Amino acid sequence: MLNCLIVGMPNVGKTYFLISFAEYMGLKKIQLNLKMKAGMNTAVNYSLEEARDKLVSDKENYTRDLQYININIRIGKAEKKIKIIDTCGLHEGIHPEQEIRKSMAETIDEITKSNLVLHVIDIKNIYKNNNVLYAVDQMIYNYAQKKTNYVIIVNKIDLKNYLNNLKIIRKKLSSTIIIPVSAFKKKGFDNVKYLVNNYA
Amino acid sequence: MIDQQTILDRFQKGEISISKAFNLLTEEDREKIKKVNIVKKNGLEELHNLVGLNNIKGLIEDLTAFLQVQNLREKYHLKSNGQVNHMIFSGNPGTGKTTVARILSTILYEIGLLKSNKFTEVERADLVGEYIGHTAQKTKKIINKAMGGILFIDEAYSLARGDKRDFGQESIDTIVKSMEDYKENIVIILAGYKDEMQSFIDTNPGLASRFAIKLNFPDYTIEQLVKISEKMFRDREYILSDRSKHYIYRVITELRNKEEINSNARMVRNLAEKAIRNQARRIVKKNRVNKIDLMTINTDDLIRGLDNA
Repeated sequence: MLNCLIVGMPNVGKTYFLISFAEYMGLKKIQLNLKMKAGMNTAVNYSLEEARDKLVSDKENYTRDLQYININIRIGKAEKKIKIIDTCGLHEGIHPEQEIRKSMAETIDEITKSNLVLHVIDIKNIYKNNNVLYAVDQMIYNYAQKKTNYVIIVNKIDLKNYLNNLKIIRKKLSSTIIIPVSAFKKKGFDNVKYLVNNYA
Repeated sequence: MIDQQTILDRFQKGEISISKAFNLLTEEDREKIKKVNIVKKNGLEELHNLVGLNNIKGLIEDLTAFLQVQNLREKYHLKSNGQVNHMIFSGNPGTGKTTVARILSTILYEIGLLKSNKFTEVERADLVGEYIGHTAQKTKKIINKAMGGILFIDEAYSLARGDKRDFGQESIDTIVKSMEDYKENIVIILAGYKDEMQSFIDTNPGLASRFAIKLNFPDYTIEQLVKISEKMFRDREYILSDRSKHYIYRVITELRNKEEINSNARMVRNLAEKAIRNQARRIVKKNRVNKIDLMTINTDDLIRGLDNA
């Protein structure tokens, strides 16, 4: 089974990416498994609209617990299972809320346990100067790259004004796999599927 | 060095920022791939130079490898069971128990399991006192002296000499207690004749489980004894003439057949030492000597050596 982890800063669209990818993979309903605080797991079923409605918000750190969905992929006759884990956004500094710090710690811990890390970066968070990435993004980049298979997902490419940033990041991080998507417009998921198939 | 869990715990508690956490995690990784040299063990080489004892050599080698890996694993905070076990060496006198124990202290020191290569050899008289309360004190003193190294108790069964009023039992109790208290600091080896050791262990429940490693030292074969004697002379830079070699072989065979030697290598050592003294007496009577004379042991030296052995 492929353990695929979605990480990134708050509000870059990690959960939205997860839902859109599930939709692209042909899921009509999403069974979301939550890793609860006490170590128990619960599952909640959503339709796609419900999921977008309830799980996504423009508030920071709307996703708190680690949540994951299982997707089965058919490759020829064989069926393979992928577990995609959505995580809590990683903040700079020390977050005042203990609960969020705990979720962040779990997220970091999860990096070492995954076979594939999808690092979602907001296209707006790319800079022209030497450090292309935000400090936290840079740290995730440095760390996860050493630990496991690491891919950058540049999200929100529907924001036309920022498209130039894609060229910048591709030039600066030329040796990293970078997949541009728009979770909102459901663009670029064919490449994500191709990628995930590769590791499954 | 701190591990991933500790780093994440500290982050969770708000003690460190996320950048600090990532820095520490990266450091931890570096620590993991940092190489520790595998120590070369002179002790093992010494062990290999001993004649015979192939069984024992193999066991010691396995034990050394195991303990060394456990010890290395501990350095990387991996689960380990690097505890040194106490041991029982059984066998007839002169079968190499003390020699092997002495080498073992070097090995355990070299692989970092013991703090020193100190080797303390004691017997009943060193441990047992003369009046009530004296024994525990005396035993503790010895244990403190041996701390950090190996404590070798020869003829350990003599500590349990039947009588209930005997102070030996007090000594055993003290030893068992300190074994628990200073587990990682001392290795205790009990040595003695095989049968006596067995009944000693059987009559003292609690010893068997604490002395997990039992090595049995077999008697040397005649050929091994001959080799040992040759090695003793060689190590001391003496040469045996062909006739002397043959003579030693014959003598050892004869003694073994008459079952006069069960003291094994010790008897051979006595023979060698006497022969060396006899040679010296013979040499000083001469007017002139050369290097060969000083090195050669002839049959006369051996015959007289045997008489006094």
